[in-house]
Amino acid sequence: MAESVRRKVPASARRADRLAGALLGAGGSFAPFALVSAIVWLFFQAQLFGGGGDWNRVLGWLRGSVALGAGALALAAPLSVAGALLSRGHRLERAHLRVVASIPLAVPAFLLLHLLAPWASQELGVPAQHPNWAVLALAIGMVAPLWSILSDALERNDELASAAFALGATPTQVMRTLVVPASLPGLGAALLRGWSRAMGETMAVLLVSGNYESAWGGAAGAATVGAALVLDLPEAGAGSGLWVDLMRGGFLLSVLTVLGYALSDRIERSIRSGRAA
Amino acid sequence: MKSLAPACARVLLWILVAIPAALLLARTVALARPEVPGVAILRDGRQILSIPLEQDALERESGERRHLLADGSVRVFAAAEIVGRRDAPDAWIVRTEDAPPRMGWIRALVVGVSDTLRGAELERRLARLREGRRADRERLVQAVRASRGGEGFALAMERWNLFRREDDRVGVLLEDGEGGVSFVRLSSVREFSRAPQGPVRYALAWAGNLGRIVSDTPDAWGVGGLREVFVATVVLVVLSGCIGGTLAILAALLLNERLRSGRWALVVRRSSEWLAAVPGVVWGAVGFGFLVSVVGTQIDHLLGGGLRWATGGLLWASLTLGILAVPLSLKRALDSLDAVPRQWRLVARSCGATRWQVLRMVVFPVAWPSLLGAWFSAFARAAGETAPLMLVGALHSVSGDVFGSGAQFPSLSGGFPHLGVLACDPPWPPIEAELGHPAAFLSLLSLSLLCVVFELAASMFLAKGRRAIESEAPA
Amino acid sequence: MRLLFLALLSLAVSVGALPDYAPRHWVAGRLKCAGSETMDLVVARWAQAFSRIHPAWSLQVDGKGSRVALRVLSRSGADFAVFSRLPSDSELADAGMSAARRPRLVVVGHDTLRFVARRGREIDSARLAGAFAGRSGSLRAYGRNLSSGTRAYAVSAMGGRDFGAGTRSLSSPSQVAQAVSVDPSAVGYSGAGSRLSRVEATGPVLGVRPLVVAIPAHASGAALREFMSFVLSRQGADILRADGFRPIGEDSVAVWRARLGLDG
Repeated sequence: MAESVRRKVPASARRADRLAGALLGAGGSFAPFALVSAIVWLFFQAQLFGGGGDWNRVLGWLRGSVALGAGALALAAPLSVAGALLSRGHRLERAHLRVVASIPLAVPAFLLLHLLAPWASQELGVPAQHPNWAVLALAIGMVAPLWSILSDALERNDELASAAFALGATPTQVMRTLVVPASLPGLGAALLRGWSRAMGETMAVLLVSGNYESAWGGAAGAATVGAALVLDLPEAGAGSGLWVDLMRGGFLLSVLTVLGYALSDRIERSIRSGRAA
Repeated sequence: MKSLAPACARVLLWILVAIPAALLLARTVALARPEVPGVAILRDGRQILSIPLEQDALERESGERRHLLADGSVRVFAAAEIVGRRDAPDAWIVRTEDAPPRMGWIRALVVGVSDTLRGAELERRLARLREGRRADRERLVQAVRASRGGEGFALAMERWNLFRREDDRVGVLLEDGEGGVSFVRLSSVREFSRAPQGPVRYALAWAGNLGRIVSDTPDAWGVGGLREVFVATVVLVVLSGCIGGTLAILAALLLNERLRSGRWALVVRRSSEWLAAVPGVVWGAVGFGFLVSVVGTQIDHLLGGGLRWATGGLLWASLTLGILAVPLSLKRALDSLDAVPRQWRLVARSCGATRWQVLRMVVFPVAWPSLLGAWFSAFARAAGETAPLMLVGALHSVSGDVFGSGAQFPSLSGGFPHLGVLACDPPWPPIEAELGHPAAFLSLLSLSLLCVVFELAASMFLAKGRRAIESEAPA
Repeated sequence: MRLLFLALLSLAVSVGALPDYAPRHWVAGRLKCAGSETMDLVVARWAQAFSRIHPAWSLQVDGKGSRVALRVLSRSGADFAVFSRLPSDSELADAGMSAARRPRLVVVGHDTLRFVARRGREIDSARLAGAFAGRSGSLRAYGRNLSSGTRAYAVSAMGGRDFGAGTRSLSSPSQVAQAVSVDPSAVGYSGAGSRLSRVEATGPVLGVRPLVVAIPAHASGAALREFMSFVLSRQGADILRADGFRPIGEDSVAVWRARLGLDG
């Protein structure tokens, strides 16, 4: 504020302001500091450039996480896209979707474990615990969140579409030349975000995957990085080979999920700024 | 006509998405169905009291069926073994704290050395006597716990000891229909129940079963309750949400005030938001590897007196979940603060307001719903995470006195049970699995409800905040 | 004469039975137990029965597997630990316990480890061993995770080579029981506890393993001593038996009680 104004501000208010500023500075910087320190700590525990440990194991876990996410997404994306396209403009369903999307991803896995797997293994001869169950569980759980994100992304294209209709374009023309190309980045962003989230899910994997390596990934004893962390970290001594491997897996998984999220964030921002222009 | 197909497809997908939630709810409620004991007539002439349990596909094919027997065990009977069945409306189901659930006919109620009740008088006084016994027991136990370590401890323990010896002899004689008689201590009984007569009683018994699992304390023998698990989970979520939400809002205020523009600001903002993508499990690993193993051990060294903080517990878990919840909460808080038009602040400052006054009188009145929404988002995120807890302090077994000496809340340094962990890694005795996992289902259902409630609260406040800002700040 | 005979008979019966638990001190406080998931339920039941007698006492049980328990015990993270097998000297050394700090390993009972499958399926030992060795067949092998003492025991009982690829690693005995009870081509291994009615033991016996309570070498609390006195009594043995385990006999109990100074 201008010097002339400042002289009119009472000293008590300035003191309160300084105090508030100090508190805010201390309290407000704690969280970013803690977040970054945690990641830095993890990086050092991971000893990415050190020797020791078993990289095969780490890569197996990572392959498992990535494949789980990709598989779940491949199953969930068509349904979510269809849902988002069909439910354009229906606000009630968005609220309903938000509710369903907030249910933990362990729920579909739990239901598959107790209700579907017994039946399937007895009638169809499939194993009761297999990583594919985890893929299915995550796919079921991801439909609602993906649909929700996609709806938000599509909403922005409606104005364009209505403008095009007003100018006399046919629905097919609008779809083909306007809506689909404009929606692709949004779809990409949503898929990246969903993949990020699915890669990190652990409880579903622990419940139904049987925690063993399968054709598409995992290492002995754990199908994904998350499962390996939960099952083996408590018994790994600090600094031992197992510990380093687990930390490596955790760090690299985080790198992947954060990259996916950051990319989707960039895409969304460019969509938004494109609109405003 | 053309719009009918898409509408149908839309509704179908809508239903599809809701199926897991509906299935969870339906199955949980179904598992609470009141059991109806009956007498199975066996081929060899024996008549045994039993409750038939659900069959799976293989059992339906082979005709086998599992039965819950009077002593709480489960046996498989081949189809040919059972030739008939009849009702047993006056048989009791006795649920206790220190034995599997039992069934039988109550022949006598032994109240004292020479005092035995039977028949109609027994029925009349059974419930009242049980409550009286349990109340007495509670009173004396509380007296012991209250005097713990003090002078009155020895006296309270003597009193308790006397009561216990006498209490061990007060109970019912339960006959299982084959001549076997067992003694069930009255004060250990949680509930005496019979097959409900009539649809209203049936419905009430059904609801009562659900309520019972919620309000009973857990035990290591039968299908106990979940009360302490609920309390611990809610305490954890509230603590984590408060920590994470408050830290996030403070950080958002700081970023909004000081780091508004410039390269550094962008880096801090983006990185804080992007860290929302780090999986919960990884935060759990950091919590375990750093907070528990390093910080906790150091604290124990400093404080001496043994092992309190070097193992997982409520404090480390809530710190872990709190930090985990910060990025999402921070993003929403920042969005809401950024939505407050910059001109307002500039005008206020040029009129002589300090930064704090600007916050208090210009920003908060308009942004408080959104900030509250951001705060609740931390709760929602914390409620949805289960995997990190398996590394930082969630207990894998529960029984009886979960929090220690009748405490109402878990202590900061101790382990705690959690609804999600118990649903996925059930610690219950085998009978819970035989009955179809009612406690596990209810745990998961409650956790889901908790997540939904907090998410709804967050959404509601965020929407309200958006409307408030839009109405006051025409673009 | 008859009276004398009856007196002698009753004496013989009582001498042959385990001692009843008689509290010597009233105890209070909270103990922590780390250990085996196999013993989880038994420890919880001991704690429940014991805290009926001493209401100001409670136990926090955290079962994450025998191998984690060793580590926790060596870091003084628990007051005592339970194992479903006898940890070897090298394991104790690995966990950081020098000879002077070795815990006392009280064997309180025995458990027979067996292969389990859905009831009604008799499977021969060759196929069982093959399933766990990773030879693909029509059987699916369900086992436990790395930190489980049960797994370690099963591995050594099956020849010492770790399980082959394709063996599931489930994290608790109840998960194994659940998987085996629903999947008709599943085999697993488990002790006597947490056996479901749809699951039955099959094939050869894998071994008889001791159930061990490990007390730190320099433990001196009255609470722990009273608790051990309860465990090594008739009531403690009854609880072991109720879960399907075999408690140790009177002679062993007497030896342990003397060693731990529970009656002196």
